[in-house]
Amino acid sequence: MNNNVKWLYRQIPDLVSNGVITEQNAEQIRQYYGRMADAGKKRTALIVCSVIGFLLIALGIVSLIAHNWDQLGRAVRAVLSMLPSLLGIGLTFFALSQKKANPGLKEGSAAFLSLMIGASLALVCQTYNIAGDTRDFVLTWMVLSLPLVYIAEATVPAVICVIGITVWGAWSAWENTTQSFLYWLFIAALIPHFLMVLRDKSYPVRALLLSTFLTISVFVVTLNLFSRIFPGIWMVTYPLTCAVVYLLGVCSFKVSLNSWQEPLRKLGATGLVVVSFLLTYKWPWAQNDWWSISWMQGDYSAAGYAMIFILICAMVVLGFLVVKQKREEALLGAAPAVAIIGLAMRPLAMPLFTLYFLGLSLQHIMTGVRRARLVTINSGLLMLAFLIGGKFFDSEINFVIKGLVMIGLGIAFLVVNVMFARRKGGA
Amino acid sequence: MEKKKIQLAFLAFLSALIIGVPVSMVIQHEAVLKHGKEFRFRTAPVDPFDAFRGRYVALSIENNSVPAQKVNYRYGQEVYASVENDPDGFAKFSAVSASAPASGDYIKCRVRHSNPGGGTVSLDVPIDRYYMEEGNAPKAERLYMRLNRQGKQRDAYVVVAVDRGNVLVKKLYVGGKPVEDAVREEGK
Repeated sequence: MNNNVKWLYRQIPDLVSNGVITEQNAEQIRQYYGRMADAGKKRTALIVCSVIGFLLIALGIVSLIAHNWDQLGRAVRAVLSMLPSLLGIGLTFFALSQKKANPGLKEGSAAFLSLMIGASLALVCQTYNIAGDTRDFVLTWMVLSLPLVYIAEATVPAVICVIGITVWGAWSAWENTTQSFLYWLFIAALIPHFLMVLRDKSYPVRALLLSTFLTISVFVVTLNLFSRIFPGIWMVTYPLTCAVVYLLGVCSFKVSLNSWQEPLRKLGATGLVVVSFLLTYKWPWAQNDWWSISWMQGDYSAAGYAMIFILICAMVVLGFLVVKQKREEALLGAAPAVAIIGLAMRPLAMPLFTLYFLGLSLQHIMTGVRRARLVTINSGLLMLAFLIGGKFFDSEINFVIKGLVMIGLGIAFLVVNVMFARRKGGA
Repeated sequence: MEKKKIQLAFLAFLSALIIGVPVSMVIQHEAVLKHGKEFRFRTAPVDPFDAFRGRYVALSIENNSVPAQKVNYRYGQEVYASVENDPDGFAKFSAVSASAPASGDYIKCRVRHSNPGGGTVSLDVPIDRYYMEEGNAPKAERLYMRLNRQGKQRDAYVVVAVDRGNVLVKKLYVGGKPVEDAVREEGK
């Protein structure tokens, strides 16, 4: 059920009590939207089943190909190489030429064809023992699959393209950083489809799917690029990337689109919490360790500096907006600023991040209490437990004290959960 | 209706590309097999797996370094390695240059490592795999390992076709026999 209908359902009791609509009208509204919601769910389930069916068949064909039928001979295998693609093309033609549009068939056949393109290329490589430049193989496959996203207006091929180009981009970051910037062009080519999916309210699952994969993809490639270009300062570049994604996820914009921001918020927050936790330790800040500046020679290319500049600008603008709109979320987004201070004053970096992480945990707990959200309280308690547990087991403190503190934290967890459950009438 | 026609027209155009790319690969590689000159390279096979393309015997060329006067090539740079036969009838690299040589046979490679002290350049030669049916590749590896223990690993070599920089693997030999025959005999 979409958010507008949920809002309407929440309004109904008020509308009835104020005499705007009758109880009978309220029931009719519930029945009408309930039916619509059921129909939407059924439609989505049909599409998902259709896509899964086509993907399973495609993976089965890929597995048959991987067997390597070498007794068939070169000529037969060369001709057979075209079969998977021809099958996919035929199916997609059939799906697109249907009088009544069938979204399940369209999504499924286009996804099938995009996998079959790879299967045909793989068969040719197999037949001729073509040397394994996997990057070239993946790029050719993805470039041939990309137009399908627009021709069939299908999101699953877009997801396949995102996965493929992510593999290519992350790999290229290490092999050829200049070339790897093609990745951004490819992602930009997918944006018009992403916007179309966002505007289309009939299948919100598509927006969620694409938004999730795009966010993961940008994370993976950016972090690989930064590791190659500036290996010694991941303590700043990783939080910076996570913070921009997170702030983009929590910022309120004036456009009313589907829930594209949810994956950004969740993945960005997870990344920030994990990196911030790691930065409460000594090793990221220590010189002359393998993960530090001396580990490897960075690329230090101009494109890398441009990336940092763009991310800092984005962070400043988004940070400013978030501070104005929602102050609570701004603290987590401030991790890169703390990291920059830490890098400038290395001996103080570890205690600084420990304090920062402690502040984050307490803020989560307090926000959870204020908003009466058990998930937020528990995540704050979990962060606190990790911080204290990690620091304790890292230190020379007596095992009895360590044990008592952990038991205390455990009891606090249980008490808070029981209290909340009682307050909500669940226990 | 108009939109559907446009979609189908674009799909027809894309289909031509989807089929055209593998067909052009087939034509290009058939030309190398037809016109290319045959060379034998000594190899050291091991058995990995490519999730998408299947099971193959990974090949590693025994001597992939070449003497060079200019050795300041960067990692990954595309170079042209001239290839000729040694007195034993096996191929070896004789020279390397940044542009294609005017005469002789050569293979387009990438630079793996430059060694200014030794005056050599180590090459990433595009002879790295020989696809086999999934059950046979591990058997080929085991056979090679056994021959290796018996000191007969020098009987492992690969026959390739070389044509204007392009190279294609034609056959892998283990123990002096085509690897498929050697594996079959081993199974008896």
